[in-house]
Amino acid sequence: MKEHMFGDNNKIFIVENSRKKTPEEIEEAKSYRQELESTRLVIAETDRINKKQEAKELLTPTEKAFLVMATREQEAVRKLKETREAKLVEINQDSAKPEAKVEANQDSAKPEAKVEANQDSAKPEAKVEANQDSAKLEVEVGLNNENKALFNATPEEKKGLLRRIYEGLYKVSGVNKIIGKLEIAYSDLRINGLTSKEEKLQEEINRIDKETQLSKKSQSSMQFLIADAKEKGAPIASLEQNISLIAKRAEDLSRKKSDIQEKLTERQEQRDVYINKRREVADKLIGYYDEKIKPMEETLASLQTLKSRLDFKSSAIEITHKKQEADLHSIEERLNSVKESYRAEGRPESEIKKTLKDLEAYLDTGRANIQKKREKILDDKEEQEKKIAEAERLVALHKEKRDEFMRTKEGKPRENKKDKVTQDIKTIPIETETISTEQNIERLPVQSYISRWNEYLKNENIAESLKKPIDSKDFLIETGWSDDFVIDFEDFKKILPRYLKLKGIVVEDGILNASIEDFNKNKAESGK
Amino acid sequence: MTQNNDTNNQNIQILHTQLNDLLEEARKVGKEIDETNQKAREEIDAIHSKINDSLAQIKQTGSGLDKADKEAGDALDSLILQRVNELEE
Repeated sequence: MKEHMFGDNNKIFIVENSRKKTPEEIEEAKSYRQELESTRLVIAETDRINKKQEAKELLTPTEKAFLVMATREQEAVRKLKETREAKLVEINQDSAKPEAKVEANQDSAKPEAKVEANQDSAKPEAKVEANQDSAKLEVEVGLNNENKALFNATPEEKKGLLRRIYEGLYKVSGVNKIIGKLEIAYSDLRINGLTSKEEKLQEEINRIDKETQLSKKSQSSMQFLIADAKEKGAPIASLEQNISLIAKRAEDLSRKKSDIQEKLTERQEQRDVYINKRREVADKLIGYYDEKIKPMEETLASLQTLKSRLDFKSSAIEITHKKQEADLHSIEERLNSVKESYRAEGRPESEIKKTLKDLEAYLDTGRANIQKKREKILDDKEEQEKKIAEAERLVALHKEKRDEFMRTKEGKPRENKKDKVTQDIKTIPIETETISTEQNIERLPVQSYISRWNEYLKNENIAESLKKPIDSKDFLIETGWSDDFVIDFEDFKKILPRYLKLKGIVVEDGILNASIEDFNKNKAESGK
Repeated sequence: MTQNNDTNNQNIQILHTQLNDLLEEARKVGKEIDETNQKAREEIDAIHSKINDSLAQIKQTGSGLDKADKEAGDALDSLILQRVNELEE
């Protein structure tokens, strides 16, 4: 062990028997020692001049200037001395960790450990698993050929990181993968990883700046010492050597700072490029979605109108069929009466059957045609409504994706809602009804219902949104009914809301239903 | 007897006339049903055709967006892969 003495109370012990220091460390330690030496000299010289002053001896101008400088820089000199001592201890401690080193060497030298490590890397299952992971990433995440090549060129340890990053994406359905990728790109974790490295580089620059400041002060002190020594005719060679070493150290620090600054700038530029490119991709995607979603919504609105028209037409046809069935029923009743009369006239059953055959066939065919068409309309309506639901789902899916892109870009948290886009297409229940052929139900010409309804709308208690009289001509064109077409109240109750919806007259269901019931009540009372 | 037969024939004739009227009425209703069904087919087919067109239009736009998704996804993959390499340097 070699002991260095810096003044009475400044002892620094340097462990020389540890590992061999690098040339850089030797250079650094040398520079620190020089600086410590200069602080020691400054302190010693200050003490000497102070003693001279206390003995009332005359001070030379240089001694006076030195004293002024030493008093002014007293704190800086003390700090420099402390940091350099600490630095020297640090260098020697770093290089003097024989146990750790030995342990590490022992570990790596352990034959079992080595074998185990080799076995691990050589395990065929492990290799297969890694290959499978790689294939999974390429296929399931959907890397294109260019990116596959980029992934394959990535070192194995980085591939592991990529697999972890993309892990959550394996479970995501195809349509939502883009949201997942955008989320990964906007992931704070990645940015933080870089930020911490930037912070370390910035800390290093700050440390170098402080050291440089101290070195400058040290140089300044040395210059005073040289001037003082020159005045006294003392040798200055060693002092000049010290000052040149300190100056060299300052240059080294400046160079080191410049290198680190370059690295930092490069990293900041890389980060900025990444952030800009990421924003460009997101903006382009959102812009494209905005551009395309508008016409999609317009098409969907026209589909909603078609849906209303389909619903209205189906109901109008259903009411027409109902009326035709009632007509057939009426004919059948009269036919039965004729049949009984034939029997009363003593006509044989075979003759009656033959006579009525054609008429019965007409009735059966009419009913069969109605039933066939009714079923066809129901099937078609279901099919068309499924198509409209599919269109609604597609538009909703893209709107939701656009919103997700915006949310991700703005760094907002994901809403905890059910994933609409993966919902199955809703099956819209098809309205079915029992056809009433009762003859005691009041039937009125449709014109009569419309004029009474329009009259009813003049009532002051009617909701404003409903106060739009029905154009009977348009109503008849839309339904395909003639002026004298007769309907009952249930028919009117069914067709009116659909007609209003088709014509864009929006009334709350509850209000409309209550008004229709109220209308029926008034109609009945006025008819009494 | 002859009078009875005449009455009977007259009644049968009335019944035949009633039956013919009913037959005519049934023909008319049958024709109405055919017309209603024919018109319904035309009107509903026209609506179906428009629905199919609109759905096709939405699907086409959707596939354009899916293509944009793919392009953006590739660009993001490329960025992520490069970024990981930069981060670990």
